[in-house]
Order: sequence, then C-alpha cells, then structure tokens
Amino acid sequence: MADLLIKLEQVKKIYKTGEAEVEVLRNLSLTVPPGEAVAVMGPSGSGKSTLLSIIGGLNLPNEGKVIIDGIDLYCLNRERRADFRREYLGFVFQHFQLIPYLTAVQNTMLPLTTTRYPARKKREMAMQALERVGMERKCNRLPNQLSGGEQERVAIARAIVNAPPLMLADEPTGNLDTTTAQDIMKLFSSLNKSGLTILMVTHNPENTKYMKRTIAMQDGVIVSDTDSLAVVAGNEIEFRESAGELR
Amino acid sequence: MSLLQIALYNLNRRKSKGFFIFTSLVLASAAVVAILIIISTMQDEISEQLADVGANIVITADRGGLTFQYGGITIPELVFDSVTLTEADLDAIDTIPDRDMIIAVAPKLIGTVSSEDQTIVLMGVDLPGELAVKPWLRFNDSGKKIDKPVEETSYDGQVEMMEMDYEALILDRMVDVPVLGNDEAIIGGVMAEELGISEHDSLELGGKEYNLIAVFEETGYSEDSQLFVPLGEVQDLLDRPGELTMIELTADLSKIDESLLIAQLENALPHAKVTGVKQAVMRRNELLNTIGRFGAFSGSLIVSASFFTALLTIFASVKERTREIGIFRAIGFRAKDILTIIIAEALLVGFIAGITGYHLGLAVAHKISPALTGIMLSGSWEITALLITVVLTAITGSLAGVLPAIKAARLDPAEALRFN
Ligand SMILES: Nc1ncnc2c1ncn2[C@@H]1O[C@H](COP(=O)(O)OP(=O)(O)OP(=O)(O)O)[C@@H](O)[C@H]1O
Ligand SMILES: [Mg+2]
Repeated sequence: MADLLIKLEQVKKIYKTGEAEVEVLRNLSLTVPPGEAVAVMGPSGSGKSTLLSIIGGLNLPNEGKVIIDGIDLYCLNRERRADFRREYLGFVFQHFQLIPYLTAVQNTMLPLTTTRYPARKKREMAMQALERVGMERKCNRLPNQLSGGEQERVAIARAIVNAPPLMLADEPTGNLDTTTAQDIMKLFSSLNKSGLTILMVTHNPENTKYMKRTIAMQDGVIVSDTDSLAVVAGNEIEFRESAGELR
Repeated sequence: MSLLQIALYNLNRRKSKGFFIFTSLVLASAAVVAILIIISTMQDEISEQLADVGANIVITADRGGLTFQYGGITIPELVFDSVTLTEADLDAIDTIPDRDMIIAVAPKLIGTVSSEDQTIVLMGVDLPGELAVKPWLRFNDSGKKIDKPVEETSYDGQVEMMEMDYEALILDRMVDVPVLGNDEAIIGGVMAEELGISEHDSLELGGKEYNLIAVFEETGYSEDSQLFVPLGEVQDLLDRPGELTMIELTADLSKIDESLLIAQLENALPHAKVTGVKQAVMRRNELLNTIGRFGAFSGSLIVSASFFTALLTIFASVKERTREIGIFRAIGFRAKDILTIIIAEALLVGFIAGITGYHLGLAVAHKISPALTGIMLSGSWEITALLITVVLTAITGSLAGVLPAIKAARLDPAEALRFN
C-alpha cells in the first residue's frame, strides 16, 4: 500500500445546468494516509458529496488527478473503475440504499455477486460482516422489516464485506436518532481501529469526535483541516463558524 | 448469490409488472399459435378440396389456326374426325426425363356416331386415366368396384410445397374405379336423361351392344353429354386404329416447373401442340398464400403489440429502478452485469410465457375455433412446436429487454444515486 491512500491534486468539478456553470470543487487538493478517519463537514451545497463521489470513482472531475493507493482513478475506463470500487471501496449512503427485495444477508453479499467465490464462501463472508455490525440474528429480514439503525448496520456490513481498505460514507447518521447515531459512530471508530480508512461526510459536529481528523469545506474549497480533538475540545464554535454551520 | 438470483428476487417482488409483461407475451404467443394451427388446418382442407386439379397439360395435334376454350384457356381447335396423334406418342411421353412428375395420363379419341336419330359424342378413353384427370366426375350410384389398384405410378420424390401429395390423393380416388370392359360404357348424366336410359340399360353403337355400367353425375361440363367407351372400341368404331385426338396429363407442378415439363414434352412430340392449363393450381396456391399472408400479417401485428407493451413496461421498470441500478454500479457491478440482470428477467418471463402461451393457444384453437370457423382442427401437442414457441417468445421478451437494459447499463451511477 502506498504511503498516501488518497491523493487529490488540484481537482476541479464544474456542473453545467443548461447555460449556467457551477464550479463545485475549486482546485481542491487533499491527502489521506492509510488508517486515517476523516470527517468532512460544511454547509449544504459546499461540495461534500461531490468530493466523495469523485474519490469513489463515480464522478469524472473536470481537472486534476485522483490517486487512490497509487492508482490514477480517472485514467481507468468506466468498467475498470467499477472493478476498482468492488475491490477498494465500501460505500455507505445517506439513505442506506439497501435493495428492498433482498434480505439483509443478500444485501450484504451484493458486492460479492460478481466475484468468483463459491456461493457458500460468499454467504460465510456476509455473515461475518453482519456479525461485525451485530446484525447476524436478523440476517434473513427484508430491509422494511428492520429499523433505520439496523438498516444502517446492514449497509455498513455491505460496505465492509469484501474487506476494502477504504470506506466512504455520506451522512451515515443523517436519518438516525442521537443514540443510534452514536452506536453507529462507535462502530465506525472500531472499524477504523482495525485498520479501515474512513472518509465520512457529516453535518453533526458530535460525530467528529469519533474521527481522527476533520476537514471543513465551503464553496468547493477546504477551509479548515484539523485534528478532531481540537474541534470537540475548544474550537467547536470557531470551527462551526468557519464551516458555515452557524451563519 | 448470482445475477440470475437477483433477477428472480426482483421479479418476485415486482410481480405486477412481471405479470403484465408475462400476460402480454402469453396472449401474443397463444394468438399466434392458434392462428397458425387454424391456418394450417384451413390450408390442408383447401389443399384437399383443390387437389381436384384435373389435367394441367393438354397435348393435341399441332394444327395452328382455330382455337377453342378449355378450362378457361385457349387451345387449338379440335376437329373431331381429324387425328394426327397416335398411341406411339404415349410411348414418346414415357421417354421424357421427368416422366416421374406425370401422375396421370389420359389419352382419348373423340368422335361422333349416330344412334337412333341422335348424334352421340363418343369419348374413347382409358378410364382410370380419364378419371384421374377429371376429378370432378362422380358416379351417380356405386359403379363396379375394382379389385386391384389401377395405376402403379412410381417415384419417390419428397413431399413438397403445399403439404399435399397429388399422387396419393389421385391414387386414393382411383381405388373405386370400375373396370370398363370391351362391351361396356359409361354415360354422361344429361345424355342419359335425354336418351331416357340409365345404369344396366344397353345402347347400340355401330351394330354392337354396349352395357351402361354407370352414369356420371351432372357436372355442368361437356362430359354431361358424352358417352365413355374403351379407347380401342372407339378406334374400331371410327376405323382409326391407334389414333388419338388428345392426351391430357396431370403433372405434379409443385415439384417441377411447368415450362420445363412442357419443353420436354414438345421435344418428345415435335408434331404436337403442348399446352399448360395451370390456373387451377395457381388459383389454389394463391388462395393458400393469401391465407398464409393474412396469418403472418395478423401474427406479426399481435407480436409487435406485445413486444412494445413489454418494451414500455421494462423501460418503466428500469426508470423505477434507477437508484437501485446506481447502487449496483456504485458497489462495483459492471455495465454487462446490469445488462444481464435486466435481460435475464425478460428472458425468464418470456420463457414461462412461451410455455403458457403455447398451451393456451392450442386449447383456444381446439375449443373456440371450431365454433368460429366450423373447421375441426388437426393440430395436436408437439414438442417441437412447443420448443419453437418457447424460444421465439423468450427471444421476443429478451429483445424487448435489450433497449431498456442498455439504457440501464449506461446510467451514470452518480446521477442515479442523486435521484431521490
Ligand atoms: N449532477 C449535478 N448537476 C448539477 N449540479 C449539481 C449536480 N450535483 C451537485 N450539483 C450542485 O453542486 C453543488 C454541490 O453539491 P453536493 O451534493 O456536492 O453538496 P453537499 O455538500 O453534499 O450538500 P449537502 O450537504 O446538502 O448534501 C450543489 O449546489 C448542487 O446543486
Ligand atoms: Mg451531500
């Protein structure tokens, strides 16, 4: 594994809606070493999700380079990027995004569908991932038979089932109550301790204390990049101002 | 878990959409199966009815000039007592390369004699050949039964074009041909009435008594007023030994081109005029083709309707599943995996619809169509027909899935996930 798991160089992203062009990321550079846990904060529309989707190989930047574990992501074609996602990434989406007609264990197995593992091995791996998030006993339930927090856990199990080095999470606690959110954050923290690099978008400053590092974005640039402890300890107000949360 | 299982689970959840596609494919395949069964039965029926084609080639003396009408076409005028064909010409016919294609040969000498103030038209015929080329001739009552099959025509060509075997049909009819003895005759229905005679009566011609063994039913053709006597007898009566007025032939024109056969005959009989009388066959073929075209047309209309129904439904379901497809792509499914899922679903539905549609079509054809068309159907359950139906329905279904699947595979995952 390269020294820097994530390396963004001067990434620019422009969205065109009809005649209007919106520059959502402005020459953004970022490095994340392996094993880190990064919280990404910032006001709505500041480009957090765009950043995540670009790191995830889902969204072509207009300029700049995205290098993950030494791989120049946008030198790969679409299908190679799909392969890359399958091997390197676990995605946790805001609305869980479970497939409604598949059970918890089937949802967890999804990233393994197109791998060559035998069916039994796939199931075993999925059950291990579900155990990791404490959902093994509800493995045969459909998503609509699970609570929000439980669905979130299944989504996390799905993200880690193929043991990727990097997990990208976009507001994973956005739809959860405080206690459940805390449980999820503890799970993230423990996954990080066992070696998973995490990049997580969140609106809740409380969550940042489970991450080692917090970056704040505004209008497509990183306006602060600090040790999370500082954010929680004393500079919370200052940080939140800089992140535009309290404006 | 495999892509196929994902397809199955999705079908299981979206039952109503799947059922909609399923129903439209079932109805289409059932309709097509029913149409095909009914049409092929109709074609068989018509083939059989119109197999009574009669002579389709007429050989006469080449006289040029005057003509007369025969079966709707114009052939050279025959002057009854002028004869230039002979029985040697029958041997010449046997030498042509495609002799096998000629199913029946009817040589005849036509003349007139007077009997009891009447002028009688005499047909000197070879009875089996005559009946073979004039299938419309029927006996009023049962004539004498023949004890052995009459003509042993031999060729082993394949059964052809319109799924009918002229030869078999004609031989079939020949089973009941009576033997015409040297002192026996058969009389046309109208002439029998005019002369006030019937079966078992006798008639004197040129000083010889002929027993009437049968009377032909009235047909509206010239045979109604003719007397049929063995060829040799007429040759004696008219004192024209070995001579013929004309030779009528029935050839299987579904196996050989008429002009080729005529050319061969002209070559063998340089002094004769060979004329094709093909419009009966053409009329039959045209009718069969029309029915076939009608079936193909309505069938393709129904199939297109169901194809588009399936296409639109699958498009709608792909739109509905945009986000789901985005998730699949985001977690590393390739475009071809998405393609596989969508087409597998369409294929599965098409497969089951094909099986159902075939049986439904068969049932409909047998239960409903006799009431509608008055035809008893002959088609029954056949594994090949079932397989063909299943394969074609599955292909129709999966073709309907192709465009939506391509659209799905091209979805931008980032966009798809924004789609709330
Ligand atoms: N596909 C797109 N086409 C056009 N504009 C887009 C597209 N995606 C995002 N945007 C715009 O880019 C900007 C950044 O969007 P993004 O989703 O990255 O923000 P965000 O920081 O994640 O916001 P939130 O906190 O509300 O999720 C927004 O103004 C958004 O409207
Ligand atoms: Mg966002």
